[in-house]
Formats: sequence, structure tokens, C-alpha cells
Amino acid sequence: MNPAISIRDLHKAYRTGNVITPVLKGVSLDIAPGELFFITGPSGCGKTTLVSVLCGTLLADSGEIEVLNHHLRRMTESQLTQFRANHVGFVFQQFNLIPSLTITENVAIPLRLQHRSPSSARAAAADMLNRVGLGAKLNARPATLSGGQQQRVAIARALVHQPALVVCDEPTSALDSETGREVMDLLKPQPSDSPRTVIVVTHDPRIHHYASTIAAMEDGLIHQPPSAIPS
Amino acid sequence: MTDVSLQMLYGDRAKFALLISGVCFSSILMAQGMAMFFGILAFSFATLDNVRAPIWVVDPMVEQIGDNQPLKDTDVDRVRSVAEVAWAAPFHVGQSQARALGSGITKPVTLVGLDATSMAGAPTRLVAGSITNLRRANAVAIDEEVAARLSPDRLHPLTVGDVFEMNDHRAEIVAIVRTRQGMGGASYVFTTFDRARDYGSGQRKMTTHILAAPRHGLSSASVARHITTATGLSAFTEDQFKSKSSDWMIANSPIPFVVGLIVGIGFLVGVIVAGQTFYTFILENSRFLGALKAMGAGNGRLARMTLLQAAVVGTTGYGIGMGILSLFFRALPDGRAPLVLRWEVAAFVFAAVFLIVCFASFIGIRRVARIEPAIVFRS
Repeated sequence: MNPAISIRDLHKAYRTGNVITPVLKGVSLDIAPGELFFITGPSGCGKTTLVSVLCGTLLADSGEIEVLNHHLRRMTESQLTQFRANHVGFVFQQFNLIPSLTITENVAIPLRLQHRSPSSARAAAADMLNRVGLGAKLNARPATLSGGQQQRVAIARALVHQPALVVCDEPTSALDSETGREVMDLLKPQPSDSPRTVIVVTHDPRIHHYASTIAAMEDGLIHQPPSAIPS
Repeated sequence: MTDVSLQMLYGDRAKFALLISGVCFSSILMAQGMAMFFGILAFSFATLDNVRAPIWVVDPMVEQIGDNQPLKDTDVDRVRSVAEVAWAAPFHVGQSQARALGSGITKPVTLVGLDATSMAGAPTRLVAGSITNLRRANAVAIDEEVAARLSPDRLHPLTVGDVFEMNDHRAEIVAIVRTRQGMGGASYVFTTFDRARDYGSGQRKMTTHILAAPRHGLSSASVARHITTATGLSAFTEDQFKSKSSDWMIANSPIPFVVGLIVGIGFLVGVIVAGQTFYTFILENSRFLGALKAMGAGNGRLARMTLLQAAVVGTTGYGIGMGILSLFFRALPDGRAPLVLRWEVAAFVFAAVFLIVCFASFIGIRRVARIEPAIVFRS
């Protein structure tokens, strides 16, 4: 089976004036379809840069990166935008729900970006919110919800367009253990769902047992070979 | 994504109100400045509005309506001799002093002498009395302003039948009329051409203008050209004379500079307040715009959303500003304030607001284009 994500000798550095700071120093990695893949490591090790590169929000300087059969380094900016709209769902650490929209309108955004009509997008969003247990709050604004509820809205937004890849940045760091577990239960690929690969960047050891594979990063490299977690 | 764009705009009510206020205040400043300019112009050719005549004939040296160069008495006949002219009448505009009997209050007035036969140029907005009674001995028609100014110690202002003095001559009021106030604030006293000599300075040549009309079926403009060619005098239609007077004002008075300054400040206020607030609005929303970018909204789509937000701010601010100004102007006493809200003012201010909106959109779109989608992964 082809990997969902294949990375070879990936390099990325940030430039500030004349100062060049290498962040990814030759990362190589394969992630199989349907995996719940965790990337862990200390702050500043390059986790966020790696996840930004592999979901197409940041371009690598060198190396090969193939995601869902797309060679990201060979794509134009507009192709990358289209790729993200069609194939990637995002769960951010700070939720990034637009405060002036209702949660249904927030969840409908990925479908609107795929040119679905407002009414059909809202209907699909309402359905997804029902599935994450927020069916009674369809017209609520994000600010009126608890942190756990907001993260569930973010998950609904990430999954509503059934992406093949979901990228999560510290999805449980701001949540208590119980809520963190609920969030991970939602993110875990279900047999009834369309197949999806989930990548989670996390510091949170409380949720490590959800991972199918864990890769530990340090100093811009996958320090420890990815280890499969026995289920 | 139109609805998302607008909800993001309306969602931050304080910022939205500030944006609208900036454009609104800027529109009011610019429109008020220009309305004042047109108002002052209208004041400067008030005589043209108060004395309606199709053609005005003046000395060739005259540059504007307030410039009263005397004509020869024979010039009237020369104008009458032009084949295309239906009628021509002598006309006098000068300055005088009106003195109330009893109180002795003296006020400057603009003295208008009309041809007693034709009454050409007689005021049209009659409040009381009769203009034809001007043919009586010592008869004058005064405007409401003169009546009020000469009556500070009276229960009611001067009216038909009352008497005052001009240049030591008795003047009996036979009509009260409504006029537009002139530039110097002097209001109008109408009498016959011959009597104006007694009431005024008594100058030898009393004809300052000749009023004329074209024969039936001919245009005023073409007959004015014929008069100029045949007599060597300058002849203008009412609009041409207004335009010449306006041009003179623009070239010779400090008013355009002052008004330009007001309009410029208004424009700058709009650019700074709307531009700065819009930039801050984009800056504060950059995390959400970054999230939209990450989720697959391209720069083009976000630019269209930003343009829509700026356009809504511009049209709303402009609409409210012009609405407030219109209501304010409507509440002012008729003809007292030098403010004229013409469609050209509204169009100019709309164009200026459009530029402000373009500027605000430009800096907003530039900022949006520079937002990296990866920003959303940074805490």
C-alpha cells in the first residue's frame, strides 16, 4: 500500500535578515493511510514547521514531500490552496473559530470554500455538529461555548468536508483530561467514516495511547524512529 | 463567502462603528466645504437670482455681477435696435443707506432701479402689497430683511404703508418681497429707475445694466451674441453671467483656497481614520484570515471579501454623512446660510470616498496577501 504521506530529506530554514535558522534538517518519514500519527517533542524542535509543510501551508526549501499522491513542492500557490480546500482538515490549538459567525456557519466554511451552496453547506454542518454532540447549539456563537465545546466545533469543521488528511495542532493542550479524551474519540478514525489519516502534534502524554504511531522529534530531525503502538 | 465577509465586518460592532464614523465625518467635512463654496457663489450672484432677465448687457470691462460700470443712456436704444431683441430696459444696481424714522437706525441696502414702464427685472416672490404700485410717488418695495433690520424697536417689522428715508428722501413701502441675500449682507430695496437717482448716490450715469429679452423663438444665447456683435457691449444669458461671475470669484478670491483646505482636511481625515481603522481591523482578524487561508481560501477570494467590506463601509458612511448634512441644511432658515448642496457636491464626495475606500482596501488586501496560512499553527 502506498503511504498517505512520504517525506524524504526535508529541509526548511527561516531567515530573519541575514540570520538563517535551520528548523528541519533532513526529515524522512512515511505515514500510512488511516493512521493516527502523533508527532511529539520539545518546544522549538520543528514539530509545527513539519506539520505546516506536510499540509501545504508552508513550502520546504529542499527534499521530497508527497501527500495523498500530490508532490507539494512542485505545486503552485493556487494549486496548494485548492489542495488544502479539498483534502485537508485542520484542528488548531486556539480553535480559530470566527467569533461573529454561529458555530453552524463556522463549520460550513470548508464546504463554502468548495463552492457548495450556503443552504446545503449549513445542512451538512448541522449534521456534523449533531454527530459531535452539539446539535442543540447550532445557532450559538463560539464565545458562548466552553473550551471543550469549541474544540468539538473545530473538529466538526475539520471533518465536515470528509478530508483524507486531518492535521491537529495540540488539540487537547487547553482541555482537561475528560474533555481531551472526548476530543480524541471524535478524531479517531471510525470504521464507518471515509478513510482518513490524522496527524496530531502534541505535548500531551495523556493521549498518547490513542496513537497508532508516535514519532519523536528533536533538533529538526525525527530523533526516534516512529514506533507503532500495539492496539 | 459574501455573508461570511459581511458578518466578520458587522461582528466587531465597535470597529464597524468607528469605520463608518470616519467615512461619515470625512464625507460631511468635504461636502460641507464644497456646499459652502457653492453657497458663497450663490450669495455673490444673488442679484441674478432676485432679478430674473433672459439677457444682461453690461460694459465690456465688467468682470462679474457685482462690478457696476455705468453705461451711456443711449446704449439702451442701441440694444433695442438689434433686430433679434424683443425688448430692452435700463436697470440700476447701487448701494445706499436706509434710515428708519423715529429710531434713526441706518442700514446699508442694495438699491435696485427698475424701468417704470416695463418693470423689467421686478422681484417675483411677493410677500405683501403690489409691485405695480412702484409707479406711485416715493414708492419702494423692500425685502423682508430690510423690513426686519429697520424695525428692532417695533413690535412688528415695517410693512406696506410704512415710511422710512433714503438719502434724505421719503420712501413709502408698497410691497414686501422675498429675496436671496447678497454677499455683503446688504438686502434689497426696489424702486423705479428715475427715483433710484434720488435714493442713491445721484451719479450722472445711472444705467449699470441693460436687461433684454430675445424675440419669440430665438435663444437667449444667440441673441446675446448678436447684441455683443452689434453694439460692442458685453451681453450674457443669466447662466453665462453666473458662470463668468463664478470664474471671477474662483480666480480672484481666497474662497477656493479656504474651501480646498477644508475639503483636503476632510479627505485626509477619511484616509487616516478609515485607512488606519481598516488596517487594524484586518490586523486583529489576521488569525481568522490565516485560518481561512489554511482551509483553502486563496488570496483572490480574501481580496474580494476585503473589497466588499471596504465598499460597505464606504457606501454606508457616505450615505449617513450626506443624509445628516441634508437634514442639517434643511433645518437651516431658507437663504440665510451660504450652503448649497448640489448634485456635483454629492458626486465629488462619492468619488473622494471611493478613493478612500480604495486606499483602505489596498492596505487591507496588501496585509491579507502577506498573511501566511501557517500563522495559525503559531500560538
